[in-house]
Amino acid sequence: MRKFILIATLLFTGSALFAQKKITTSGTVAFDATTGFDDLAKAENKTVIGAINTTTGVIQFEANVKNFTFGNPTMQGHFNGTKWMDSEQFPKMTFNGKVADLSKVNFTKDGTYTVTVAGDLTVRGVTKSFTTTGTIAVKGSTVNINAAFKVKCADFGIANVSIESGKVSREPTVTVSAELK
Amino acid sequence: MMPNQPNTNSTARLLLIISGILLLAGFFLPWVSWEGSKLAGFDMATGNFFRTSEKKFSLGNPFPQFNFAFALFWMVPILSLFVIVLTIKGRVLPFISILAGMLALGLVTAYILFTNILLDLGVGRSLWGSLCFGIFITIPAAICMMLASLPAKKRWEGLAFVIAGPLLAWLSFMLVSNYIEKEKFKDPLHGKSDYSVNAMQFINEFRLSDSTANKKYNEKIITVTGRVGEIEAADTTMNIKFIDTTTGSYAIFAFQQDHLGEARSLTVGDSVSLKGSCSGGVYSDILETEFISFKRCALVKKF
Repeated sequence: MRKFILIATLLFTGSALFAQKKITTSGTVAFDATTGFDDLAKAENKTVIGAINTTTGVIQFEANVKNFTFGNPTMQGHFNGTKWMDSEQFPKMTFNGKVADLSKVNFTKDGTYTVTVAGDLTVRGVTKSFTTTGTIAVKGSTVNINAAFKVKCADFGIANVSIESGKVSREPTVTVSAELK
Repeated sequence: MMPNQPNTNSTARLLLIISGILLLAGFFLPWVSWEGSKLAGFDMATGNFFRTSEKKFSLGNPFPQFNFAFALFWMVPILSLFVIVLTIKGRVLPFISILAGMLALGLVTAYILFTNILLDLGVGRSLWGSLCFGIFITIPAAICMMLASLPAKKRWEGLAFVIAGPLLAWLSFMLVSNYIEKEKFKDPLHGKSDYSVNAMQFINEFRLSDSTANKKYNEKIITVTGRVGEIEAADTTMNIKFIDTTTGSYAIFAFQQDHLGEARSLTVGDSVSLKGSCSGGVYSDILETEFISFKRCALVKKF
């Protein structure tokens, strides 16, 4: 019994030592909800926290909603308002997921790998299952994650006349880029 | 040019009295309803119009320095009262009726255009659904008061005055909208900081109570002085961090293109003052620590 506990402890400690969590606090998430009627609805946040566990393939992102930067002050005010992101009530947006096809990626070899990521995206307090494709680029000990996808505003309880009338896109394009070390 | 031949016809005088009463009453009845907040014509004159839109929907008067000018709309009930009294006494002064009508219709236009903006923000489902009976009394009353004060021959000319109020209001609204759409954020280095703080004390305030600190600092321009803990590339720009090494909590300053050169001149360990717009603090579940974000940042001083 003692032997078993010793072996189990060694195995657990060993796997923990090999687990590699790469992190950034300067990831970028940008979204573009512009349409032919309105070109102001776009912003980016460059202080996004991102992490990937190269052993398990777990990917996480966290963004302070209020740190999305717009060119126009009024648009930024609207974005944070109760009818849109309601950032006072829901200050954070998060993604918690996993690389579905982690075996494709060799973290010890430089290269760019196209992967599928599936997980939970939480925006405005609403969590939705979400799957997208993206790339993982390995260069030495650095891992670059890039993805571009569309999200439906209505999935996160954002529905109003601006969207219905086509002034703001129903499905903004979101781009994510992060250099994790 | 204002018509100078008043209409003394008895039907016209009766219409003037009725429209005067309706315009006066309509001014104090609800014109629009924004998610349960009913606003009458006089709410613009008292300033409650923009107070309500700012408090409920974060959309205030873009030129608050001119708030005093809205008192002008008290002229609508005052002039309506004049019209009623003067008409009863047998005098018809078209100038007064036309001015009251123009102001009322201009105000109606402003309410409709502003309600349309709120619809864009998600307030209400339709314009018609947001309008209240006060506005439907005011519109015909104002038109009737203007036209009834004029002699029959001049009524077609009177239509120009009917259109003038809404047209002026619409033009003013478009000018303001255009200004707002083209407005840019001011450079953080221009203008005073709301707060000047020490980095470690600042981070500690958020650690102790981020709700209190967020209330105090959110969207304020703050100058933070401390030692650079980390410099990170963020896509094509740079972020500078002050880090509380005992807890791992940090404040991060995102430098935009305009001030990128300043960020590049810094190295870890430099003592600096950074200025930016505080986006508040959030607890990170990934890092299990508090992080405070800043946007539109600039270097104030390197010691």
